[in-house]
Amino acid sequence: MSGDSIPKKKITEEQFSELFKQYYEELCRFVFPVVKDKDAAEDVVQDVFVKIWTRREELEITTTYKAYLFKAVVFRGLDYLRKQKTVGKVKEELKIVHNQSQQETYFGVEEKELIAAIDAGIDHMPENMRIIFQLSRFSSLKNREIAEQLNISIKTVESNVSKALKQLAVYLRPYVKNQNLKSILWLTLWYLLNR
Amino acid sequence: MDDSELILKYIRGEANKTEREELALWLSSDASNAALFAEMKTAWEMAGKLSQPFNIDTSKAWNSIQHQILQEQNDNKTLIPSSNKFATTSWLFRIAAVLIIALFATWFFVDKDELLITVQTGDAKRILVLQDCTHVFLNENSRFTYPTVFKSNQRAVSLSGEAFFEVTKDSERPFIISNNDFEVKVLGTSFNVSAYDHNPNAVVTVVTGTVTFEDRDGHSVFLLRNEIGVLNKFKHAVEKSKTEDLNFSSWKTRKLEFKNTSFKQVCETLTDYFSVELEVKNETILKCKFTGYFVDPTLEQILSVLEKTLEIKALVNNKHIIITGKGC
Repeated sequence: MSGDSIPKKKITEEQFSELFKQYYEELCRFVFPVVKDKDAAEDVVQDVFVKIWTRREELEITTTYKAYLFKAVVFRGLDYLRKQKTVGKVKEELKIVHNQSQQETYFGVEEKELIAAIDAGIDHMPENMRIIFQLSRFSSLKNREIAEQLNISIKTVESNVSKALKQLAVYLRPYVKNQNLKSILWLTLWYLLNR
Repeated sequence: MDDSELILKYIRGEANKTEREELALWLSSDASNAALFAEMKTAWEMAGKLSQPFNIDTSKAWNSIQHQILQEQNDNKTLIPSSNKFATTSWLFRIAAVLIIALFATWFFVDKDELLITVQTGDAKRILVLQDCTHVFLNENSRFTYPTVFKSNQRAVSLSGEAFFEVTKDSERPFIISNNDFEVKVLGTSFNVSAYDHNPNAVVTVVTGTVTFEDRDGHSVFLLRNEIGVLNKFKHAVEKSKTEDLNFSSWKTRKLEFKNTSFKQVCETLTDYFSVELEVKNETILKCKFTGYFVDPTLEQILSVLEKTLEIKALVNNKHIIITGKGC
């Protein structure tokens, strides 16, 4: 069974295990930016799957399982984060895994500094916008699927994502401001018009 | 579409030739446009790097959930038995499940009967008037959720943070404020609820009327005028007390009142109201009593009155105040 088809009956064990094998890893990577902890990411995704199975009698999914899974996981992830804040345990910063490309500098600054700025920006987003941004940036769901899951219009999804990105852009303003914009501009224009 | 939506389209590789030309034109018209473009493009790329590659063992995880499912089926009370990272009381598990389902159902769900609105304050306070004319004074860094139209049998809202309520009397429909840890039920009255996520205590202070303050294990206290209920979220105990702090809602009223109040309490009130730190050099001063009434005072005004009344000296150093002297 593919996660892209709409289920007609209650989920079978075979379908459930197929879903798990197909999407588990992707879902863990998806929710990681929210919970910022590998174990927590796995816990959250596992919780969602456990619930899907134990509540399969009551659960009515009218969209694809794939879209439902991403939505369920982002909500569960934010819920986890909220609980962590209640017990005073907030992961202060995202530990960035160092690899080759992170030695790159943008605007004269190391990439990891920019990543940390964006991480802070996402944390400060209003929750509804964060949910939409998370689903848009980190999952392979289309805008239409996101709109359907959240019961909002596609226009709302699109405007939220662009607003979110515009907000995040502000966090990079101190870095961009210092650079030679003219060169960025000409390079971009050249690229734009020659594609 | 607006500029940021056009930029986003291009960044995602979804812009057609016309749109790309439009973007190029816009970019070249102003330096700030180029800056915004660079910022947004970089922000998108950096956000993408937050999702990091790490090793996932799917088959190990599969075994783990098999175990979790079995445990759940054997034990009906506990819903998430295998994870000790989460809270361990059975009520919290029940409410977590209800919250998740409620989140799916109500967060974005526009039910024609119940449209839920959530207000989140940052550095400013807000006043809200609900459908039944109940006034809610929402303090800073607080989140309040309410329906535009109340149900016929109850008026249910939820709060995380601090708010002062003036609830319209309606004996047919109790007004219920809930969050993860407790429920406050009233028919018509005015009271303050302080329930910040980061604070282990939740405090309800009643100004007029009567309030039932119940924690999630079913322990409740009945609070009358000027009574205070304190819930410790970890001990799961609700206690009633009469405190000498008459100023719990001064953040809203801008009035500070002291009636034979101990200097220790005065210091605590000043710390809350002005966000300053007070260091008292002579401990005997703490027991001195002070009576005074201030309307929208400055810190200097209060300190000046305290100096004259209590034979003390206040040295102000930015947000840090040192109190010396004999005291009363």
